[in-house]
Amino acid sequence: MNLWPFVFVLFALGIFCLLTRRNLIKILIGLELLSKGATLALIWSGILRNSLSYTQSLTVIAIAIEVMVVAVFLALVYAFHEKSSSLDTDDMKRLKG
Amino acid sequence: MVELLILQFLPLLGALIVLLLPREKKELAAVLALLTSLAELVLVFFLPEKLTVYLGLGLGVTMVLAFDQLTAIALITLSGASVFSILYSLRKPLGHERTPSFYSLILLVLFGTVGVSLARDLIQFYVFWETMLIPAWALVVNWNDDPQKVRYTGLKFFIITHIGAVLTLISILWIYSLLGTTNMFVLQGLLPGLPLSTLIAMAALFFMAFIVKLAIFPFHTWLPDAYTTSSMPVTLVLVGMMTAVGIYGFARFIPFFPREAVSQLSLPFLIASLVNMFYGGAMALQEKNVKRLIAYSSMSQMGYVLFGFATLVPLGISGSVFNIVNQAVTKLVLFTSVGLVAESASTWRIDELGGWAKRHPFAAVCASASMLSLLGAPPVLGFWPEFLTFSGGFSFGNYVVASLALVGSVLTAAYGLRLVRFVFFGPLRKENEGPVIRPSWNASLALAAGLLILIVFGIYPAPAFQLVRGALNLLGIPIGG
Amino acid sequence: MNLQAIPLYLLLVPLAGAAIVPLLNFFASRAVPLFSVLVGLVTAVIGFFLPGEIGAKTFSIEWLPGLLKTGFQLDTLSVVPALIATWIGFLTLIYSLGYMKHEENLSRYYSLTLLFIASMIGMSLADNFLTLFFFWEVMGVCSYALIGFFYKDPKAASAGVKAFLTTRIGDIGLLAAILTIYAFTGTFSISQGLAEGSKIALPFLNFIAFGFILGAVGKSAQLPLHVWLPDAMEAPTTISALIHAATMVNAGVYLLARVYPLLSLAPSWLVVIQWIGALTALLGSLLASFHNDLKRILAYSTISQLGYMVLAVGVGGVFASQFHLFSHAIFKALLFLCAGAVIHELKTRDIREMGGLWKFMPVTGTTFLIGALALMGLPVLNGFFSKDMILEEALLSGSWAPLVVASLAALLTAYYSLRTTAVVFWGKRRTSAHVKEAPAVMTGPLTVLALGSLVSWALVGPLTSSWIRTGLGAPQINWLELLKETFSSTAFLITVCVIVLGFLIFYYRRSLSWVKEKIPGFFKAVAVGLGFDIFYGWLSQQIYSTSGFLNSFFEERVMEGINKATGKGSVALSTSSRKMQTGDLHWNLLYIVIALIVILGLILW
Repeated sequence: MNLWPFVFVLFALGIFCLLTRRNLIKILIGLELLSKGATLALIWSGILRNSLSYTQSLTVIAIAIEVMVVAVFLALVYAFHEKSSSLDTDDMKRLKG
Repeated sequence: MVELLILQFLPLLGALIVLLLPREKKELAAVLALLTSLAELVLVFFLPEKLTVYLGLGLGVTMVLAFDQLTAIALITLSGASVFSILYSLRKPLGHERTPSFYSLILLVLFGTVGVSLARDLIQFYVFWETMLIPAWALVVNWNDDPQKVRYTGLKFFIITHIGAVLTLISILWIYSLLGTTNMFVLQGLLPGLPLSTLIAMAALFFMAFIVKLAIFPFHTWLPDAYTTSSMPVTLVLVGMMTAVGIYGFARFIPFFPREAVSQLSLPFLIASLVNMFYGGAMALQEKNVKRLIAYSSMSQMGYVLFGFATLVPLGISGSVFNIVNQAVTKLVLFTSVGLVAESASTWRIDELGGWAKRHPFAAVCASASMLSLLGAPPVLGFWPEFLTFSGGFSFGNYVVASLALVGSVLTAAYGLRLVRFVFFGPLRKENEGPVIRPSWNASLALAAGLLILIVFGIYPAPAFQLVRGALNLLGIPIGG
Repeated sequence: MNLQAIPLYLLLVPLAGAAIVPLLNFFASRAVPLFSVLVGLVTAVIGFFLPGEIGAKTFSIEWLPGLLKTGFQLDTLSVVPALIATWIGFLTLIYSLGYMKHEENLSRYYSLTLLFIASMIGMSLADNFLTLFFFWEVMGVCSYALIGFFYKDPKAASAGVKAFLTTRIGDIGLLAAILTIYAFTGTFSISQGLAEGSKIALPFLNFIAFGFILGAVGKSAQLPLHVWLPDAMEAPTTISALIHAATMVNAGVYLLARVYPLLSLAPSWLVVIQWIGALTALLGSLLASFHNDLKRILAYSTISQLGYMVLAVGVGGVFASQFHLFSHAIFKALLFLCAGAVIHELKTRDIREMGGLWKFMPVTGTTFLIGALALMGLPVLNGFFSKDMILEEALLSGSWAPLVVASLAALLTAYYSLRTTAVVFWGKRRTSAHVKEAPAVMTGPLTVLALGSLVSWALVGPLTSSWIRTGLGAPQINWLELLKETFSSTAFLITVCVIVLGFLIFYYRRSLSWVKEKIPGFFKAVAVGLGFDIFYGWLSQQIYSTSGFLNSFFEERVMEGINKATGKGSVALSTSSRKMQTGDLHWNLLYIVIALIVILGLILW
């Protein structure tokens, strides 16, 4: 069965969360969804091309990278929370030019 | 070979040493700077005819220092002008603003301009061109008589001249991308191989730095403010050194590009030069601030220089090459003599001056001589380049343009005579009455040297003309027989 | 002494003198006047050897190596102005001993005068156009400096500027002509240029002729560039005598005579020359008749007489023009120096404040009368012969209209010469100042010049013979033949009528005063020099205001506007781009997403 619609749905949901949610944790979840969508796309294209072992290695690496992204993100969120006691993106305006 | 390296790097060395002096040692800084410039000037006279130093830097870029007659003319003018400016700035006691950094900046300008004259590689040429621009800007901005306008003036000066330089850089990079090298000697053989339209565009872009430097309309707007608002020694540096190097640039590169390409640019240059002559002259005529008047007169004179180059005949080009020296000497003497009076009168306005010949007789003589040189009247130096330029003008075929240029010289006479008349002649105002002022030894020495050059070479131009002729022969433009 | 080098010494001695005077002034300023007179004497003595050199070969030096060799050309045409400069210059220097005794800055005066003498010599003896132009301009510079000698006087300073500027307009014409000849023939040499110039196409020949004429009109104060000469009277009177009567103003006439071979190839311009000469003669004499400043009268008179010389060239009488140049230099210098003596004593230049001076200044009065009679052209004085020759040439060439104008001018000349003499020296004394005769050092030169006015015409013999010897065409006559020819010519009749009429007008001038009431407008116009000055003043004003407008509108608004607009534009661009930096996380994420989609699209297609 065709997994592309699933990939598309995951991407769409992830982007939707990123763009419309104000709470940083919710943005993290959106980012995660995007990652999962990318991983799924990776796996499905691997299946289509019939190179399962290569796909497997790439997927494991992708998951590892994703974990690192989450770790750094959470560290930044934690630091932000320490400074301003809020998790609202509307308070993060200091880079306004 | 070592002499060339000394010639190139002596000002840099001097600049660094002077910069490292403590702030209070102003006299020492001034003397050191003066000695460095003098050494530079003397060294030029002792170098043999032609010398070259060659350093390959890979990727088709080289560093070539070469000394020939044209470079000699430029170097004499540059170091002479810097001696003059430093001499003028000496004063007992030295003003609070004449710090060691001031003198080191002047030496850096000398370094840059000397580098421009010695360079025979395009990238090297560009690097030194920018090198001279930055200390000049620093000088204009920090040693300035008009604190309110200084930021605007300095910015205008820097940006406009920089735009010119960047356009030249574009041309250089274009040449490099097409031909793979920036060495001028190699390029002279390779350039004729390019298609004509490319060459014309390249040449047009290349000359932009010089066009801006010579304040050709409509890129002239930096000049009046930069000259007027900076203090006198800085103005002298700008006048003596920057214009000399601009004229040098034209002289070096007009024969560099193939003749067919440059001849297409001849007519636009001619028209631009006519505009400069008349526009600059008109501005000078109605100007009330004497310093600004002389600044506009400089713009007008640059019109004549460009005119000489644009005729593309040996006589015309020789006139403009001769002008490298003449413009510097004439302008330096004129600015200084009028400046002495303006200082005593504490005003630069022409309607508040008058009759100062009584109290500044020597300055009056110098101003009259340099004004006559400006007009191109004998028996002073200015007659010869003007005559040669107009000879070229009538030789290249377009009599209308040449006659218009001649009419422009009447305008020059008008504002020049007016300047001397209203500053030095006529009655002296009651509040300015007093004994004859003897200018300090440094100003008198500088003026006397300038006056001597104006008169001696005005009557007997042969040595100077020999040098010009040698320079032109080398560039492949033979004169006379 | 190497005789070949005589012209070189003639040039170098006053030149060296001019250079030494400022140095001498530093050490012994009292010696300066005497030193200058000495230099003048040496020059005059050398000058005696010059006529013997006519036609001799001379050397040349390289002035601009590889480009220009210059040397001396010795024919009668060139020697005459040089000798006039030398000898009248010497007389003027002697005169200056008395006249300038109480002035300051004498070193400047003597240095410039010696420089001027040297340049006139250099100009007339030059064998190529560049040297001629060089010295032509140096003379202009000396004239400017000497007119403005009393620099504290604003009138003098402005007069110097006006003189320089007006002659400059003429000079560019001269330069254009010289350079055009060079462009076509490749040489600056006068003789070569004239020889090969005949091959130049007519439109360019016309241009060249125009250029030379413009140069002459400027330097010799002809219509319409005559306006500088009356104002130049602010100069010390000795300078007016030397520069503005005897030498520099003749340079234009000399030039026309020298390039006549080329001018004759452009016949339409020859007619122009005739008319310029004739009209200037009339204008000058008209204005001289009705002004009251003694020096100004003489200035207008000079303009008028120069007009005669120009007319002579125009009708082909080149020798006549040079002959009149010679006579005029003598008697006009005489008149000016006499005027100088009078002005020196009375401290005024207005003739209405003079009168009856004959009793107190007999020598001055007599010599002035001789000069005036020469000016009028009374027979047996030198002015008569030369003026008559000019009128005869005009008759012979058939230029009737200019001849009539010139005759009218002669009429007025007769009138004003007599009038001026009468008002200054005869009649009732109108001044109460104590007047005595000028010192001998001043009356000496006057006497010499008066003698010259009486007999200089006798030199016509040697003049014409050397003229022919050096290849310039003219009939050979000696003084006896001149007498015979002149008295039997038609022009003589014209001269006689004119003199008689002029005398009558002068004699009955009081009864003719009703003319003034009938046409007041005309006299008002004459009083302001027929409006030329007003016109030029208006023209300069227009140029000023246009430049001012150009500056205030164009330079300050448009050009600076461009600069400021560029700056404002960059700032505006930056300000609008800054809006992209919202600092809002969601915007940044949106940009990332858009970029992602774009890249994906580029990869997949």
